[in-house]
Amino acid sequence: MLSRDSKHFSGVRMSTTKLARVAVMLALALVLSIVDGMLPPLPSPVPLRYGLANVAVMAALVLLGGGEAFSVAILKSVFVFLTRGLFAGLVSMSGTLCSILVMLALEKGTRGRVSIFILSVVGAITHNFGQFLFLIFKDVYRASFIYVAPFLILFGILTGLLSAALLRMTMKPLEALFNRKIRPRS
Amino acid sequence: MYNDKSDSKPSRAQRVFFRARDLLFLAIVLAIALTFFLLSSKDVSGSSLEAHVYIDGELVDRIVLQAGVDKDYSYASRPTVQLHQYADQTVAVIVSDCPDKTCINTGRIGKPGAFVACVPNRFLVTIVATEMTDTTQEVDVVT
Repeated sequence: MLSRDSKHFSGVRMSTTKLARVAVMLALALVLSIVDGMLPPLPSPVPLRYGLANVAVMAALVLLGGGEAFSVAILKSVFVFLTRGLFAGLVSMSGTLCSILVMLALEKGTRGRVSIFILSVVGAITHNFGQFLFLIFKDVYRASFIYVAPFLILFGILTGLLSAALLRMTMKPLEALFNRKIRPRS
Repeated sequence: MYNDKSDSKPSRAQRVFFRARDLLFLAIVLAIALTFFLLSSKDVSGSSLEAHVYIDGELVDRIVLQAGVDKDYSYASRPTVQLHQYADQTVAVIVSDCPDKTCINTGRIGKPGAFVACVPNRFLVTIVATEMTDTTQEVDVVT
């Protein structure tokens, strides 16, 4: 949609629109991760979060495109790195990278026909695994993988379902926002 | 030009939310989770449990979890973190100066493989069944 229309414009105009859209989704992702941190912890023996920020990443993936979603996801981790330090940034990055790469593969592999539910649940589970494998690898957790895995999957399904429902609710207004006509000044 | 309304492509927001065949995917994933759960809840009665305390990745203490023992532990290199051993063979982090208190919220742990971690303090406690490695080697050979 965007790419076809934007052929009429110079590269500068297109990248400005793209930049603005990525920035909006990044801001949304950052606010959602702050909200995520304020919610009560999940009743899990393994520390896990709700992963609300994934709603913004998935919205970028579905409504804008793969490149935009990748930028939002990576920049979100860079923000963690800037505000909470190297270690927290690496933990965030490991989960985010696993999650976004798998979601991109799913989206591209099915040419956008994968359901929101599958996309969200797979994204949540891979995010959990990415983070825990990094922490186990870094010797922070000497937990047995077998003990941790069922919780990662179960809570991945629950939080994935939550993000999928939130995305479904917000997708129409978000698309309306992105489809508003932006008149070039020239 | 730049008119999205005239675009013949269907709206991206009309995306399918859930298909019936997604249930199959869900069932497979749950089956994998259940397999891991059954593998992890192997019978370890007959072996004794120990809580291994790691600070900065170094093993600093091994607490034998005996029933009826109820005491506090704290370590010189992390005076702000306090560990408590309960009479029912569980341990929990009860005091910590970290911002998110994930370690305290984890609560009591007592199953082999379970762990409680305070990432900001680089403080970790895992539960280990001391004969667990032996039992995994005694696999019946079936050909």
